[in-house]
Amino acid sequence: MNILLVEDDEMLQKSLVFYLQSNRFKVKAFDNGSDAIAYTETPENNIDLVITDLNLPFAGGRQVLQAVKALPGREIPVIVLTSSGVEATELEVFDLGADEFVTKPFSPPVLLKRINKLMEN
Amino acid sequence: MNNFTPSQEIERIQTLLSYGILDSKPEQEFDDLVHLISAICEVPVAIISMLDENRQWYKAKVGMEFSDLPKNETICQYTLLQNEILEITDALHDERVKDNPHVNTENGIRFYAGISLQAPNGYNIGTLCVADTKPRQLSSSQKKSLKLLSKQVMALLEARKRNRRLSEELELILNNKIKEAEEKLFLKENEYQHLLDSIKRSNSVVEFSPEGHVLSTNTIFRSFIGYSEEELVKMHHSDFVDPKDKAKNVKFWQALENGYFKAGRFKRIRKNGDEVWMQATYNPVRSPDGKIDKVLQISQDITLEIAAEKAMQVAKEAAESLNHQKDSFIANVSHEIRTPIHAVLGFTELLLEQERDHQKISYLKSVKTAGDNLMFIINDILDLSKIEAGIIQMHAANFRLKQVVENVFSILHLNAKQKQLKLTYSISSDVPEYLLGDSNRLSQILLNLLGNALKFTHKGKVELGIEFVEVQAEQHLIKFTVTDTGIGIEEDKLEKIFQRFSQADESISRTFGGTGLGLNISRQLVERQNGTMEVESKIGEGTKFTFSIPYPAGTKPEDQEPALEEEKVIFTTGRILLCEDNELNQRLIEAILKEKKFTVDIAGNGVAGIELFRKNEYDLVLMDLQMPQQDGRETTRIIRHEFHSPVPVVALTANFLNIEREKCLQEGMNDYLSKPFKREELFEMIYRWINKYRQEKLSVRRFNGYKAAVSLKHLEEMSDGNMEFQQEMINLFLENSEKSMQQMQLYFEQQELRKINSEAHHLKSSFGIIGADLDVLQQLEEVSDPVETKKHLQALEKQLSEIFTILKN
Repeated sequence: MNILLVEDDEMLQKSLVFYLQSNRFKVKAFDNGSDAIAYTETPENNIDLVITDLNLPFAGGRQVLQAVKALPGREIPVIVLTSSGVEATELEVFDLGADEFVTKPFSPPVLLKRINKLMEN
Repeated sequence: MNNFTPSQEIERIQTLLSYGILDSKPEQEFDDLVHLISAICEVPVAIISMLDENRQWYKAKVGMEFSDLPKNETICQYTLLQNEILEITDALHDERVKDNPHVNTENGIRFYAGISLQAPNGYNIGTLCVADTKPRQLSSSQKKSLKLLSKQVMALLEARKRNRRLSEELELILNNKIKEAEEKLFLKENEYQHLLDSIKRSNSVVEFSPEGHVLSTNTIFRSFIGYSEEELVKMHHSDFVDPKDKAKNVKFWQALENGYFKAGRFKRIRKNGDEVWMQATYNPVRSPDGKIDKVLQISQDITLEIAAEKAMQVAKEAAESLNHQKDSFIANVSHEIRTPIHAVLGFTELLLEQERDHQKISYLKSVKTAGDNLMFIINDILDLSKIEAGIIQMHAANFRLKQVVENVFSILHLNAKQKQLKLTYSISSDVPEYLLGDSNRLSQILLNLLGNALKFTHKGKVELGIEFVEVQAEQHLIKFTVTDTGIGIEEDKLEKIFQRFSQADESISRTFGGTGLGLNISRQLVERQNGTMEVESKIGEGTKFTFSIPYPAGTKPEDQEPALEEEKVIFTTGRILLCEDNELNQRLIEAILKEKKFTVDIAGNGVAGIELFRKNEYDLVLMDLQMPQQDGRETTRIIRHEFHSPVPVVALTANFLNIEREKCLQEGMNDYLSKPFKREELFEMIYRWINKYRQEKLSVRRFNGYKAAVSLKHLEEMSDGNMEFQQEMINLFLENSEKSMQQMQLYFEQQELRKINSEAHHLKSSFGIIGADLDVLQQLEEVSDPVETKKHLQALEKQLSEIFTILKN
């Protein structure tokens, strides 16, 4: 299973990569939106799921979300990491087509549960 | 039936006149009726007539050329005398009328039938009659019709009269209303005119066109702005405005054109170029169709007021700056004077402990007493300067009144015993046990008053009484009375004793000593706490000082630090870094600490202190604040932020201003000790902080039980228990958050608050991983005010330092 992780905080990114890899995921991580979007558009990628932060340099999480959802012929689930805890933002995230969100700070098993739930469907 | 009596005739005429019918214009309704009756009765002549005292007037007629007749020529005069129909079938054979000129003539009247028009009051006011030139007789139905129609005529007359009355009344009411309105209008106009006149007499008044051209001005405005009337008529509003403000003025005038009222203080430029100020209102005046007709400016010259305000601002700033200088001057003097005395006292105490020679002990005690007295005097002077500089601060804390009194008494007890005086106190039962206020200042006042009382009393007693007076605005007014049986004060000296450097008698200072500042300070301290102080005295009998202070009721103070006995056992020694530039103090503190087997390293300044800190591990740092090269605060900052060391730092300061203390704590110092301190105070401080530090070190890794700044639960979960990875992440956190902090401080210096918001947002992710509290970051993310930002940045720095303390151990 291949996960695309977009998170600009170095510490959180590294921790998540470590955690997801320990749970036998393959992880490709980026610290900005535009590199991540460029990666999704490469033909050889075979992403199964995207986890992205909202607040990112260059291109934000919203653009990543839109780019992933616009990929032709594929339905890649997206989990958004929000740090708001504000309901409006979370609703907006769903409006943009996100499949799930996790509010930071979060416990890693929660994220794992959400990933598994999305992958079952 | 005969003629009416004269008075009846008058009433009849009045009734007639009340209908207002005489000489009125012909009316269709009446004309129709006479045509109807002539047709019904089949006669050529029909008349509706009114009869006054000497005339018959025809309201409506058919077949008759006259419009009125003298009464005596009429036949109707006879009809009028009866209520039934008068029918004369052939006038030539009727005695009453056969000689009537209208009968006894060619083609004269031969037939006549008439009926009176009877008003509701019974008077006959006129007739309805028919006539013919041929003799004839009315049928009974014709007579009936005549009768009915007469009633109809009367009904018409009645209706006409009512209408007339109504319209008269209406007109009256209307006229009254109009009159009232006119009067009101007049009054209002008058009022406005007066208002306008008085405004014009005391204010500048200018009328502008809606576009801003001057239409008219009054003399006050002309003298304000300096232009003549001729010059002004060609001018525009913008000509009075500072060229720098022209752009603003365009907007301002646009608002006026749109009908917005404007008021405020405005700067204007006089003809001679001077700046003048006015307090003005600009009122757009609308014409009835809603268009802006003109703009009325009413203003007053406030140039002098503005100048005064500016001068006051400058004066205020100067005063504040002076005050600030005074503040630091006092702080410096405090340091300079107290340090050497401190050393003298400290060494004397050390010597007293070691010395066994009685003679020398007695000398040393004298040195100690002299030193103590000197310290009292200096404290008095400093207190006074602080009161004068307005920098004395009252601490509000809960305290137990009885405990304060007992402390004071324990100090004075020996003194009283030596003089064989009775020293007692009583607290009445309605005084609250706990009060909220500055207990140290209360002790100071009590010590001063009771000390004085003891000093000036040779035999007898000194009493302190404490009573509750009343509750006012939730404040309990407490009255303290100090009574002695001493020498007393002469009445004319009573006020003088509160004056600075003054005692009741010059000889007193020689006999009793003292600075003469104590009472002055006490009274000022009482007044600072919104209280009052009074004195009564009789020579040879004694003196009574009374002071009252309002205190809010307090609660039981939180328990003091737990007893240290136990901890002393846990910890007996350690290594201490002493940063202190004064050689006397260095040697004194070293001597005291070495006595307790502490290892002491001494640095004469901050730079040397840091060098030592780099090489050795310390359990505690004693930090003098004022040192050459690098002061205590800067040194502490380096320890906290460059070494990230949580070592306890205790400030040693001669500077006991509250601001200074707060600054110390903000810089990351743990506590402070005001010089001169007692050895016990120093030990207590050292034991407390070294023990706390040791305990923290032990508990640092027990995150869950420790109510601390971090929780590594998430990180442990992420790393699946991989300690190496955890450490790697912690190192990353230390590095990144430090950078972030510096970055934010840099942004703050550049006033880039938005960047701080986003940096704070960014940092939340890392904080989340180590389970740190996000509140401060959340506030920093939202803050937009520089002062608030600074506060939050300091809070973040503190939080980070706490986090570092834990993560680094």
